[in-house]
Amino acid sequence: MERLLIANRGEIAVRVARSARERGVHTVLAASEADRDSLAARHVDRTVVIGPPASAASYLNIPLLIHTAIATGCQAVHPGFGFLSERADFADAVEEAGLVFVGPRGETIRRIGDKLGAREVARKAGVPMAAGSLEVKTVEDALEIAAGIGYPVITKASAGGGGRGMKIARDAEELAATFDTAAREAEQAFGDGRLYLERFVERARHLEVQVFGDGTGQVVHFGERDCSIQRRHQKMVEEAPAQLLTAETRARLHEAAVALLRAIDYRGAGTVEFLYDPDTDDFFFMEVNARLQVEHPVSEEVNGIDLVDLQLIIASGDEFHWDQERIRQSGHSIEVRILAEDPADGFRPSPGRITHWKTPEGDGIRLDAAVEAGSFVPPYYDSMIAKLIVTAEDRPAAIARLAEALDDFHVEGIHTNIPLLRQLVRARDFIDNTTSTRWLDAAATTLIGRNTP
Amino acid sequence: MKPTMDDVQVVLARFDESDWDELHIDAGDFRLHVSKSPRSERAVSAPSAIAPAAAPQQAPTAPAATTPGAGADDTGAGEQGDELAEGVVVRAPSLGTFYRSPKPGAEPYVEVGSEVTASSQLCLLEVMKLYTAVEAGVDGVIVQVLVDDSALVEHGQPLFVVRPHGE
Repeated sequence: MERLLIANRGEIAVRVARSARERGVHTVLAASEADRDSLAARHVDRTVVIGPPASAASYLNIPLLIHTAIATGCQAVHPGFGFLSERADFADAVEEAGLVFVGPRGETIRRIGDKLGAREVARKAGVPMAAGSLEVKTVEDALEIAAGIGYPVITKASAGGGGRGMKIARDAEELAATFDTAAREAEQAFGDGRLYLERFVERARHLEVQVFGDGTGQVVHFGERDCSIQRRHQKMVEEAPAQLLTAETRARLHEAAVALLRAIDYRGAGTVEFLYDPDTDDFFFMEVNARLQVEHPVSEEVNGIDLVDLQLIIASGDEFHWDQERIRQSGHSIEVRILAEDPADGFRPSPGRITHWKTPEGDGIRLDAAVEAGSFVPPYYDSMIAKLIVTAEDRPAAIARLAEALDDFHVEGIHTNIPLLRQLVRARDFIDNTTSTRWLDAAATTLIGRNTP
Repeated sequence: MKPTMDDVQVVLARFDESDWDELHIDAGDFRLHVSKSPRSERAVSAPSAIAPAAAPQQAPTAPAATTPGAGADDTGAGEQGDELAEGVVVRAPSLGTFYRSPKPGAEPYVEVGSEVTASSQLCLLEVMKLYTAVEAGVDGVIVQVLVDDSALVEHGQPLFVVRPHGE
């Protein structure tokens, strides 16, 4: 691979460009007009403005991206995360054009992207799943199945996540009342109103395993992450490892993830997500993310690896041999997402010019940023502008260093969630590691109220 | 309910996909006007007309940047370096490969000095074998040709300068 098209923006575009440069691979950035002068544009060999700011006319436009890749002499395309990274039609189109897609095969994405399809693969691989259902079509079916699963239950959309189509029902009456609404919501959000049911776990933790495959059945894992701190189903804090697990449960979790992706000869970076019930020490398969994820740095830090570099190795067709025995995690790493939002104003997005950008530095501190002093944060895209990753010998030390780092992080010109993060890392539940996926939604107002500017 | 950027993007995407020419949304202090018509304000910056029937025979695959690693990272010939002459700048309505002629070996649509009218075709832009003709948008004379044949041009990149009649 001599030249790589980066079909993304922001922090991940910078990230991919860095690793590509270290491999001696030239890079071309496909940017929208709004990102012409971005930090990412300064990290690549060439920037091509492919369209106006609107994503539909730029980052989501498959013909423009492929045309740019071909016309600039690229052999491969890196889709980043979000945008087209899990669009099977994009992966297919890239390969049909004679280019290499840095990610799984299109057919894999198609199979795994459909939640119901993924559950089938998981079932065949013997991976534990929440007592749940295949597709549920009517309220009557739902009530029958829920009686078998046991309340409380949650409805979920087969075609997508982010909370749409999700309704918790604590008894039959509630389920009967909300089922149709859930189906309509799913239909409106994803054009597909199919639902399935799962047992609802009150104090659920979101755990996931970083997996890597070479496409021929060789699959290894790089340990798990705990991503339970979420606001409206969007992760804000992620850490590696998931400290609350016993060694035995951890091993079972890893094995389940590997078994699942080995069963489909997975190629590239992938993450298997689980719901964990700390009260019963059970984990349940949720879904596969067939791409590199935002929170991949915490796995990199505790493993001492570069996951983007591994992606490029696989995409180059180079052979490699993994020895799972030799892969070990050590230390504890925590990532916090820096968002251009104002938590005190309902998390309203806060685009604009960054007039002051002073970031923490030192041992164990890593910053993956999309911006710097003077950058303009455009209003057209999601609000994540940086990731602060802190690594130390154990979780208490990592939290302490993270708190110091956040205290040293000063941004002016736009609002950020940094004041909220400063309170979050000092919260008793966070320090005691007794949070759940619903914790931040419930605690946010209190934490924001504790802000001192 | 105040429209968000996400809402606007969805509207733009749908409008793009539709066969509508114009869209006006007026919702209190939020207003959106979008137009595909050549008579809109953007007319002087390269309106386009889809001309699939006139698609030339050429089937370019990897023009211009076919020599990877040979310092070819700057193959957008005639880009920002060139100073623009006085006149109306005709910009690329989309990214694409720029062709000066209807087909290889044929006469270019225009040269410096060519007389053009608003609907004169100046060049073709190609994206994945889909060809778009770029029109002058204004009556006048071509005073500058800014891009070489077969170069990849960016969205919004200056292509020609036209000196309008009467100036």
